[in-house]
Amino acid sequence: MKILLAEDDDRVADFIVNGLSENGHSVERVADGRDALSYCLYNSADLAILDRMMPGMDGLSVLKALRAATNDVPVIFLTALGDVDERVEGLCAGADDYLAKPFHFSELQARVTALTRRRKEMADITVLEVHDLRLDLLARTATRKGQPIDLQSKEFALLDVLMRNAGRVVTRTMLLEQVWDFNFEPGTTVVETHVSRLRAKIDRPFDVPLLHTIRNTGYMMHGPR
Amino acid sequence: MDRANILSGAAFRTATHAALAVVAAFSLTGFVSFSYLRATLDATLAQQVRTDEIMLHDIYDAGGKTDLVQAISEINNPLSQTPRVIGVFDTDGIKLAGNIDNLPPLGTSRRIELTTTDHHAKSSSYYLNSTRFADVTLVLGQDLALTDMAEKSFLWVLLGAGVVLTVAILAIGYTASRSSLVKLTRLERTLDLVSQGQTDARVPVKGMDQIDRIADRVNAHLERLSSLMLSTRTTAAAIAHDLRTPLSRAFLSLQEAQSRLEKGQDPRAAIEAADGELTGLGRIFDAILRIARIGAETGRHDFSDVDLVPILADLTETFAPIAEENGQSLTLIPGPAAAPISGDSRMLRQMLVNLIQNALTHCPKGAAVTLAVKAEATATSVEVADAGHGIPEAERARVFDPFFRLDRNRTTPGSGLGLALVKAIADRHGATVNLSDNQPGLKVAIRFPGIARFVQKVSFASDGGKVKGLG
Repeated sequence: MKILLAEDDDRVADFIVNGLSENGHSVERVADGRDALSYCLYNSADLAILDRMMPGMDGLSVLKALRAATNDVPVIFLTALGDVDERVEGLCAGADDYLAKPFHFSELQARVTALTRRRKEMADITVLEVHDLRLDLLARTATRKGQPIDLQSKEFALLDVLMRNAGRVVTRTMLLEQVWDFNFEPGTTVVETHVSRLRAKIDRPFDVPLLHTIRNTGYMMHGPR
Repeated sequence: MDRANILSGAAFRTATHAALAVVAAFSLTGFVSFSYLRATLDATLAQQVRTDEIMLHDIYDAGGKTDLVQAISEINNPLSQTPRVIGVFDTDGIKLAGNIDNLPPLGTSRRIELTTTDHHAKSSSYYLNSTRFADVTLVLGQDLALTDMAEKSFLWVLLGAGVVLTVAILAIGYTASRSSLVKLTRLERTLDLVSQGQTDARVPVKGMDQIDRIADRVNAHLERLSSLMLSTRTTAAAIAHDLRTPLSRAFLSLQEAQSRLEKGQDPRAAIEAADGELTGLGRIFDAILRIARIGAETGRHDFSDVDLVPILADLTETFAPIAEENGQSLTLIPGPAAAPISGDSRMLRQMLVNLIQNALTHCPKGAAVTLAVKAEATATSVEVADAGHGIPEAERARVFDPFFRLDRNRTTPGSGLGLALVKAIADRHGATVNLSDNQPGLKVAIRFPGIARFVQKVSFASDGGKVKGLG
């Protein structure tokens, strides 16, 4: 996959370029906002990672210009720590995801993967299935092997996000944002506790585990391989 | 006191203008009244002369020249009270009778200086009138001394009043200007002192005029500025202190990882430890930046209507399992069906999470934490109550300071920024935070100002409705 990275800090950029290249992506790196804009307009990138603060033109302006030019390349917006408003602003301006610096590479990797597939799959899905687990989004019911599973609303939302991303890593931060709408670190084991409760309902009574913990990163739903 | 400074003061300049206006007004009214006075007095004299003339004319008509001369000689006797001029002359200008020797040259002016020849023998200014009869000319005159004196007195009074008034106005202006200058100098000196670093310098305020009001405002601003400076200093010191610990731990872990690598051992545990420390450091920075940003923002342009009831229900569902794992309980007490306020829902969520978090962290096993929401006509409030150790009354005000922790040994988790962030968010929403004793434990009450237009919409569900605690 072809990814544009617009980041002015060389060390951070090298780190991201190396990481993404190792994962089989081809990465074009620019250090200036104007270069980022012209690259996106005249070349076809599958994904753009834009830093908020850049010389020439800041990330937000690049993003707005892209969207104004009806360019719908998926964009991950990188913001400085603590700039809550900028994250929201980024999403409003048409970013598909945002990530606050500093971040672990696994966090970026998970979001890149999630984003490149999200578009194709998200529309019109009413039922999610992983192996023998079935989640009906309209009836709001979960069944495994035909047995109904009683879920509370947070557990349902958690399972929804995990199953939509089946086969891909979903990080703790992504879960906090998407399930709880927390754009901050709550400081406790919110995610861990709820995942463990969910696991007790959907996995423990059955023989094949579906909800897997990815060490230091997050969780992944997948059937037996 | 610098005189030039006083004279250039606004009050004195105004007084100068006022004095000029007074002088102009006095001159104009003085001129008009003087003319009027003179005309009136002259008319009176003319009337007297005319009366005499009519009487003498009657005598002349009856008895001719002889009777007239006779009558004038009688009138002009030593007992006559009023000093006046009277004289009768023949056609050649020769005196026949009277107290003047020569026929005065009567031109246009009726005011003439002359000396009478009778016992008064007075040299004075006279108002004269001459009438020609068939063979004599009659000259009658009234002394102008009295009217001149009246006119002179009038002028003196006018002048005196004008001078006194002008001086008084200038004096008042000078005094006012001087007192303003004194106050302004004090203001200036205080600001100088503050800018030189003496942050506790304040402007002395005595009266309640405009300058005093400004001085009051300046003092209030200085107060706020110095408290901000103080808190910035303490915060900076606390930041430095609290960041050094995780930073040095991270360094140590990385060094350990390096030495393990050199020894051919597995360095992952040490790297993870360093990672954990740095993540914690990142969180502290995040909290500091959020507090700073929330504190710096003003206005409510990004506020919307937020209902606290669903947020609380949602957070109860999120945190009740965590409380359960700690052997505690978290319950939302049934309350109104809706509790609307104007605010930023993300900030409010974070505030409530921090409060719940704080209660769960600082409560022992078995403690109950309750959430309650009240929607009243004037205010909406949220209460987070726990049955933990509480906060001693003396410490309650300080728990909102960044990095303040009751646990001085810092063994419990937390950065000491949670409640500071709560306070910052509450302030941003115009809400008050009140800490009280829950007997035992702590009760935190956040009181938001009510939204008037919501009041009629809010229905109070008496049975608690759909909102149920999940503890």
